[in-house]
Order: sequence, then structure tokens, then C-alpha cells
Amino acid sequence: MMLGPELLGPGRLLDLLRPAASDHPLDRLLFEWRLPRVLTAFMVGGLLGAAGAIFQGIFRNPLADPFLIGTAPGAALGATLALLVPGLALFQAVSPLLLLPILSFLGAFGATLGVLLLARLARVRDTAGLLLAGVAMAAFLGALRSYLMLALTDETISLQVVLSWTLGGIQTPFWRELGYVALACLLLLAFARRLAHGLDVLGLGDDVARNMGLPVERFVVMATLLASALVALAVTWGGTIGFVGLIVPHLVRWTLGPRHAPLILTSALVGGILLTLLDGLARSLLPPAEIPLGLLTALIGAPFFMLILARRSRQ
Amino acid sequence: MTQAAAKHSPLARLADLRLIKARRPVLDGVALEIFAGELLALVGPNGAGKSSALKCLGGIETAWSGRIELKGRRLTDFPAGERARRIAYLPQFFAPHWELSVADLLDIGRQRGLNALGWSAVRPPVPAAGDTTDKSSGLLQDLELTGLLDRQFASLSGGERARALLAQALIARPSLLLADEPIASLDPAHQLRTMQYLRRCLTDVASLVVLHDLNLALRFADRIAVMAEGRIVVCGTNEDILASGILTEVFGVRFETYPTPWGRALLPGQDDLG
Repeated sequence: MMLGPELLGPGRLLDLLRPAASDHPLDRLLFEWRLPRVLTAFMVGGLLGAAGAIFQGIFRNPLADPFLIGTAPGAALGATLALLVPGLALFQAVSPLLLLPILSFLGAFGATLGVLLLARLARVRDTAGLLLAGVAMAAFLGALRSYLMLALTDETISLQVVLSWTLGGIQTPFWRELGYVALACLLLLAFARRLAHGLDVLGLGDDVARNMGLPVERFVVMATLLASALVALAVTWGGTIGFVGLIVPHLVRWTLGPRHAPLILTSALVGGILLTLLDGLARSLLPPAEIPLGLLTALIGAPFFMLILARRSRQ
Repeated sequence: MTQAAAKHSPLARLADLRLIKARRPVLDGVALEIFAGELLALVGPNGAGKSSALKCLGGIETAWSGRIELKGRRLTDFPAGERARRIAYLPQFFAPHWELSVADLLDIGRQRGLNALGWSAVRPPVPAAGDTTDKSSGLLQDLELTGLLDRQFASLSGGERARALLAQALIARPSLLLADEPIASLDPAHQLRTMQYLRRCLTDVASLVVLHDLNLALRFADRIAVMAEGRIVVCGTNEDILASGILTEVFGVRFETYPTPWGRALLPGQDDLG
């Protein structure tokens, strides 16, 4: 709340939060813009952190990330369709809360399942192969989206909106929308927590998991569905923000261990905090311009990714 | 033990079990009975179908045909959770994808039989994660694991790993343990100790153990089933097996027998084919 083009000290912030100050213009700024945005950043970060933990569990790979395995590019493609295809865009204008998340979800789920199938068809079991399948999927979907953007934008539809998705940036919802998003977040996280046991068992290998009563294929599809829903909601409100889903579960695993129940929930919490801070920085580092959030997370996340790779190759 | 066990009806029964993989019959009519409390060794040359038979019983292979019964009831009639509770499987190679501690491994093993959403579909219910008030401390003492609970599984020695895995499979008290070469990668001393641990833990659990070492099978098993080309060729007591001469036929090697303090031991002698 303190961060933004106009920096507010803690004392100033408390002053403004008091009811007496309610006709101050900054007060409106805080309640109509900054607070919803901070809350949205927290939820998007939480969704990405939890989704990252689930994807790493499904792929049994600490390098799986919604962005590297094609899920988020799939969601972004869905979102682009919703915004740019004329008929759909009209529908989007009528009911903005539904179409965008649904198409993002379909894109996210389709892309992830595609990568899983690709990996299975190619009998890929190792990290590199899986990530390559993801990278191929992400590149393909990204190109498809760029093409759509070029082919479908005209003066009536602003490229700006779509670009903000590509680079990642937290949207500022109305309070009513925020309520729906918060509700969806809570439901999805409660469901995500239920997957923890299955992900633990899956980590023991397919044979042991089957013997322990886990229907492996069905479980993987179900967990992918849920994680895709998490990513779709995050992409709808935050665009494509990379590396949060990779870094956060990693950090949590280092401190709490690999069991998925604490991992998923703590990753959501840590992801929320991390993205709230980064979004604050994005708003205040270069006033009055906003740094795209995806750019910040990539600046921090990519070196971290290299660090993980270096650690792994040393082992 | 064998005489007493044989009087009861079998705990598990396989009849005409068939499995085709990549258009090749891997199991070609397996028939076998496993009795409560016995250690039944499954021996045979490589590719005989031993692991596949275990996987059918353990719910890992599902495309089999024929009949598998547990306590007189068809295995396919069991809900997945209940089957999982009763039949535990130890794979030949086990490498968890995450850096789990022994305590984590046991905790996951304790929840054997939970469904995909982590709910318990069986009675008595599967204890929740982190439940430490279980009666398994005896098992942990038997397997000398109480001091290893905080260690990472990956940091354990081969013998310690074998014990941790055994505890992981047995902690939810299954009635049948399937073990696929649990001692294959151990040195002789640890092979012997692990077999002794296995024996010690199996007072009320039946076990079907794939063994490559015929002498350990002769020494520790109650009965031996010899498998070749997707079928059980002979199943009987150790003396029956030795007397039948079937081992020479199945393995293609003539065996010499030597007396030892615990019974007869085998050494492969001349190549029978040459």
C-alpha cells in the first residue's frame, strides 16, 4: 500500500486509512486502486506458488513451472482469443468475469495435457526431455498468440491490453470482482490441499503409487485440471508472470521438506507475499511508468533457475 | 509351519493368470496358492514372468486375465483402497523423486489405501498424516529403524534402505507382502540380515518374495515356487524342489548339493547344455 508513484510513509498511510480523511484524493486512490491491486497481487502470487508446487508434484520434477511447461502460454493464448476474436470480444465485454477465465483455463489445460502426452508418447522420463517438450509447446503457443495479435488487432481494439498480458502486470479489479476472485482462490486452494496425499504417493514412482491405491492416470489428469485452473485465474488477473511458480515451491521445499500438504499451502502464502512486494516495486521504481511485473520476476527468476540447474548438475 | 498352513484355505489364489505385453505372453496360465503366515519364494530364470506375476497381484498390472482371489474373494471385486490396504508391493528398484526422510516415507506408507483426493474409503480408516499414535513402534524396533527416522532416505546405506522400505510396506499392516528381489543389490552379510529381518516381521503376514539366490530361498522360505516361461512349473517344500531335479531343467545348469548346518545348499556345477 505504501508503494506507488507517490510513496507513502507508514504514518501517512495510517492517517489516510482513518475515516476522517475520507475526502482526500489520496484516500480514493488507496481504496479504489492500491488496495484492490495489492490484494490481487497477493492472490495471483498465491495461485502461481500453489500451481508451481502442484506441477512440480505432477511432473515429479523441481524444475517444472507453469511457464516452462506451456501451461501459462496456453492460458495467455486463451486470454488473447477472448480479447481479440471479434465475436468473443463482444461476449467478453458483456460478461468479463466468465469468458476470459474459461478460455484461459481451456488453453492452460490443453497445453499441459499436450506436454504430458507428448512426453509420454516420446517415452520421455528425464528432466531435459520434459522441459524440452514444454519449451516446444510454449514457443508454438507464443507464436500462435503473436500471430493472432497481428492479424486481429485494429484501431478499435487496443494492443496495449494484450501486451500487458504478455509482459505480465497485475490488473486492478472492482471490489465486487475481487470478491469473486477471492472466493475462487479459496475454493481452488482447498481443493489443491486435497491433492497433497496423491502427489506424495506419486513421488514414490508409478508402480508403488498404483499399489498404494492411487489411480495414477486419472489422478494426473485431475491434478492437471486443478493446477490449470489456478494458472488460468492467475493469468486472467496478472498476465504471464514467469518464475514465481518455480522459485517459491523451491524455497519452501528447502525449508519445509518435500511433503505436499505444507508445500502447497506455504507456497501459496510465500508466493502471495513475494508478488505483492514485487508489484509494489514495479509500481514505484520508475514513476510514473510501471515496470511490467513479468520483467521483474524474470530478472530475479532466471538467475535463480540457473542456480538450481548448477546445483543439480553438481549432485 | 507348512503342514499347519496347508490345512487352511489359501490367503491368495492365482488361477490361469495370463498377461500379454507387446504381443508376447508374459504370463501363460499361472496357478499358485499363498497361505497366511508363510514365506513363499518365487524363483526362476530371468524373463520367466516373476515380476509380472507380482505386479498383477499388487494392482500394478491391470490388463491380466484369469482369476486372482484374496481370502476367497475376487481381487477385481475389491475397491482399490481396500486392495491397497491388504497387498503391499516392494519394487525391485525404488528411488523416490523427492528427498524424503525415513519418517516421511513411513508416514506416506501408513496412508496406504487413500484415494486420489486423500480420503479413506476403507474401514478401519487410514490414519491421517502425521498420526504418531500407531502401534508400529514394534515394527520399527524389529527393523532397528528408530534411530534412523530423521535421516534422508537417499543418505542411507543399502541395508538400511532395504529395512526402511520393508517398514514402509509393512507399516499399514497388509496381509500379503510382495517383494521383488529385496536383497538383489546387497552384499552377502546384508542379504542374510535382511532375510532375517523379513522373517522376523512376517509373523502374521504372508509374503511372496522373488529371489535370485537359490540358497537364500532354500534357507529362509517355507515353500518355493519355480517359474519358467510364464508358468509355475513346480511349487512345494524345499525338499520337494531339491528331490524333483526341476532346478537343473529350468536353469539349464546341473547343481551340486552340499550339507550345511541349516539344510542343503546348492552350487551350480557343469553346464547342462554343453
